[in-house]
Amino acid sequence: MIASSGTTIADLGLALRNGTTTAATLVDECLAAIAAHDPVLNAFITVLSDDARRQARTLDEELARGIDRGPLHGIPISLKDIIDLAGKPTTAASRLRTEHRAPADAPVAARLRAAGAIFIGKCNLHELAFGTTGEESAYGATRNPHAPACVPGGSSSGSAVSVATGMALASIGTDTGGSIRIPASACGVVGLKPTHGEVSVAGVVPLAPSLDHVGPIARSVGDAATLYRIMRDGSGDVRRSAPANEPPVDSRPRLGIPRRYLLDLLEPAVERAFAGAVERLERSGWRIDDVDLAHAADTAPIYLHTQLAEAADCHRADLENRPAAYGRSVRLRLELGRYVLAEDYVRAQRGRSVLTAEVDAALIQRAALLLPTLPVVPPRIGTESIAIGKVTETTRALTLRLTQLFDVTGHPAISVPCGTAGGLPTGLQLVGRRGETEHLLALAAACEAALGRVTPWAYSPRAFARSSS
Amino acid sequence: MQLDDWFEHARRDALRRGLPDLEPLLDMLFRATRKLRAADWARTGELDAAGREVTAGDDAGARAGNVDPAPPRRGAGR
Repeated sequence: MIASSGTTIADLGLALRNGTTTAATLVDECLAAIAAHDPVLNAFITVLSDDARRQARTLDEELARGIDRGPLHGIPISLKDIIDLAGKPTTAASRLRTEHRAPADAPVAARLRAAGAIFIGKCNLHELAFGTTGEESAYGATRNPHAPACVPGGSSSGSAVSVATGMALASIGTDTGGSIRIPASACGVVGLKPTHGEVSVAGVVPLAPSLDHVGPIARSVGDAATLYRIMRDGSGDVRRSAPANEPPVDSRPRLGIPRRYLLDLLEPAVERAFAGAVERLERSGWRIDDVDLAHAADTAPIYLHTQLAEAADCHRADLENRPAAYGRSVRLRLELGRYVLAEDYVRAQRGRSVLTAEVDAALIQRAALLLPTLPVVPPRIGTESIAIGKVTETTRALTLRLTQLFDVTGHPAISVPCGTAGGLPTGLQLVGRRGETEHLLALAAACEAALGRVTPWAYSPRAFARSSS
Repeated sequence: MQLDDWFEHARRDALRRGLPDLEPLLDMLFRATRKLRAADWARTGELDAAGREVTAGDDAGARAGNVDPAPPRRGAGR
């Protein structure tokens, strides 16, 4: 049921309640998918088979007794292995943390557990969430399920792969510069970064606290909304979650495309896919115009000085005492952060205020900003730089280019599949007003409907077998 | 701190600490910092040569030497 279609949590909730399936069956299906595909894709660091089966039995018994915990009851999900789960290691894909055991569930995990989610396993990631490809991990690189020679995007690489392949129904990731949205785009699933501060980051290994976000990766916008609400306030019930004064989504919403810096460096295949999605939305009556974010081109240095300095601070003790435990590339970037001057960190914070005000202003008359999630097709593993026309940029700089701005400003942003570019999935990014993540989700659901839900995971084992052989 | 001075200090410190591979990353950070300091808003609040506060869009910061337009010095082995 899970692996053979684009079945969503909402679909399975119905099946669980009408007796068509059981939580135990769903867990077995996920474990079978893991056994079949993970030896190549490497999405998991820890598979929690016994715990998941035990949880499933309990939850099936509860449903049989009429105890219903809500929309996640009996649904197998995965967690990025940067989020604490009581008694389990939180490796963050680093040799630094091989001996770690979490003393308790992170608050987000506790809420998901209380809501009846079953944790099927903990997912691989770019080491310490410090990277955008999923290549660098003490547990080996994660591969893109649609083309195993290519990166799946990161840092929540295993999370997106697990959802795209039916190894889990959804996953929880983190996003400091784009780490939920980038792999969601590259793997053909939905990824939501809520407004900064809405979802607790306690019990999550920090990278840069003023930029860190926790959010869901799912097969549909509706599923992402369910997970977001439960992580935010413990309830997946939209009636309890939507503020009474929340404006309904306009049937002809006005969106702005931020031209210049954010749209001037796209691979042609991505440009075509984006233009096609815009055209489909306009045919559905959406009003789309251009908007200018005057200082968007300053985003990268602002992000860099903030992220490097905060990451170096988070890791100062281990950099001194256990430097050899880091992967080479991640250690070098953390060391780089120790050279950021205080005066430049302060300048970067001033720049954040400028950018935040500009994005706020662009959204006064518009429901959202609209742009691609990634400017490039997922590159082959090992690609260090990419040429677009006459411009060559590092893979890291390019993959962060369209997402990091909204970590800097804290605005909610979601990546929705919008077709393929170069034969691989590509995502459309919608950015909403700060504090209005619910409104963004409603808009994204309308977008998903207008685009025709692009098979949320075009992956098929047969296609995978061909491309990996 | 002037950017050229910072770069030379950082480069020497990285070599002293046995991290020669940091040099290209320091060069990248140098370029990013130069861009950061050159932004019009980055000069807001600084004082110009006459002790007046610079406001956004004012280029007095550059005139007062607060923006370092020089490219990185190319030291031996770089």
